[in-house]
Amino acid sequence: MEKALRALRLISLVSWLLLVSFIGLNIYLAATGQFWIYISRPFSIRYKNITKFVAYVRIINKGFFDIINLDLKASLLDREGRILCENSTRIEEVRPGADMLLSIVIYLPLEASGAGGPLNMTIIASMIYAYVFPMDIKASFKVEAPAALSSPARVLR
Amino acid sequence: MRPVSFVNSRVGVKVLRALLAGSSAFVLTYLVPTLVFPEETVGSASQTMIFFSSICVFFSFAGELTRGTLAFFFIDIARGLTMIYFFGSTASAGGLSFQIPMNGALADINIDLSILMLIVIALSLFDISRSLVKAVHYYIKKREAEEIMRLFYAYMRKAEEEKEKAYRS
Repeated sequence: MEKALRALRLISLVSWLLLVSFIGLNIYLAATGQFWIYISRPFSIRYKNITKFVAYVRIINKGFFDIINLDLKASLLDREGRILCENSTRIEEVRPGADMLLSIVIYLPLEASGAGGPLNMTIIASMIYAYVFPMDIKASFKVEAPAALSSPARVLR
Repeated sequence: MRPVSFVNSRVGVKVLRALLAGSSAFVLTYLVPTLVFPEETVGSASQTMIFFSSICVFFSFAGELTRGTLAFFFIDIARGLTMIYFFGSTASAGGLSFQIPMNGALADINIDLSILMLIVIALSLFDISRSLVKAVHYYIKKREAEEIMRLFYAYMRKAEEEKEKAYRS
């Protein structure tokens, strides 16, 4: 009985130590910037009445664990919070050692031009890190609507 | 007079060990994380940290104070159950959320800790069952020792009676 109790104690101790080391290692990797998601400020490009909003997302994974089910979603909202347009992309797996730069682009259609004023671009990156940490990173940026879109009269003309 | 002072010194050592365990639990679960993690991260989770630290300090103190008794195992079980309640309530609150500056805007980071909490709860349940088995084992051993002593005293008494009978006859 004593032997069985000692074995159970050892199993428990090893399990707790493994769990604490796993959490500690992940905190260390995040704190030292070896696992990092960076969302750049979006900028706009206008060509023949179509406006493109482009944002870059940099994913650094220098740790030991995969990033799985990475979903990137960008939405453009007007002042009232209505979605004007959105775009999303999905990456199944980001392996350790990866340093990726992804661009996410939103095309603002002409029919959505009635909004006017500053717009709000929201970028959400959802992923599962190290198989047990599902996480969301959400960044919202104020973007200026193109000049033609900020004045309905000019669009109609 | 001597046995009383011996008991007092044993209680003193126990209290001292319990205080040491409580203060080291406080250092490890509250002081070190507040020094290691950035202020904005700790600030948003400080209530949870204080609650967690209080649980650790109380049970370390009480556990060290009752070590070597049956109460120690029940405190161990109570600690496991409290931890399950704590982790369950933290996970149901939506995990860990904080904000970091990113390019002139604030990025909201939300980490869902439910899977991790399930692992912690499973390990806590394992520890609770282990403590229960230990408590039963401790109780059986104690009763066994008491029974052996009772039989020993009965045997001694009988031997003395027989000796006295033999002496009288």
